[in-house]
Amino acid sequence: MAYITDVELEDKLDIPVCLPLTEIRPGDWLIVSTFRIPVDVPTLKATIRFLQLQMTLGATGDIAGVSLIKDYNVNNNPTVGAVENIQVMGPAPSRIQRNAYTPLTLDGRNAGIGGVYSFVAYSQASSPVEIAVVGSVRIDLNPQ
Amino acid sequence: MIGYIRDTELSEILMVPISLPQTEIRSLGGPGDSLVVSSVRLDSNQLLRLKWLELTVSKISGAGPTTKTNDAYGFVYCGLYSGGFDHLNRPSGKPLVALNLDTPGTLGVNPRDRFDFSSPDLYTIMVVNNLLGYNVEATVTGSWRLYL
Repeated sequence: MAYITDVELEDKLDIPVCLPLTEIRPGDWLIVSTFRIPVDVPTLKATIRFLQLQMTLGATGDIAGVSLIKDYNVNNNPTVGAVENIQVMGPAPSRIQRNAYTPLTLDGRNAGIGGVYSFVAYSQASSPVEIAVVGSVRIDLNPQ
Repeated sequence: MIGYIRDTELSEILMVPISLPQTEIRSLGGPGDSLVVSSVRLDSNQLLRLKWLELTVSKISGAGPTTKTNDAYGFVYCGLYSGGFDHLNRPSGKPLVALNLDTPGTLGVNPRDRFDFSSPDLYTIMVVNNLLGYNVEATVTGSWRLYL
């Protein structure tokens, strides 16, 4: 096990993904959080481990989710082209959490990774649902 | 000087969230509204560092000419304010750091830069609809690092 220096710690940031309990109407969606892997800062690396979605209001068969999409266009379906997508199904209460031991890594040193990434919470329900999202993104500004 | 981090030192370095999910900031016929997203009260001998702050504007809606309340900034801007910030008459004063957008998109501070603050004060991140008669939808994501 290696020690970490203060300089190395300085290059690591945790960015929040946080949606307090919010009502989402059928077919609607909203952006919860964004992070950029700038093309001009190609060494940046993002790692997602913890992401949880909780539904506190929803009928049987109602589906809500949160997806991670690169270069999201707000006019598009938030599940198309998702890098990551977790969903819960009613009836509420219902909860899902991605496996924190299988990190999703987006390494800006690889071609085609640079861009703006958005966590988008959405509903595919027939009635309003209430959901909360919590998670974090580890940013490494100087990955080894 | 480069040194290793011990657990006691790590326990005094806190990551404080800056998070506003997509939110409509309205303008009810007059100047647009503003929202406080995050704030930190810094005491003496503490250090506050900002390295990550992003503003996403997903929608600007309204009719007629676009008139800004404050010509110095974008249609939508996210600012870091310190002393002189007036919670009753927000926004007031000049932000120490500002992200300005005139169209939907995402803009952030360069993560290679850092903004350090050590003067005891209240530091506040605020997002502002700078348009008259237009509603906007904005998302703000970031993180402070607080050294106790």
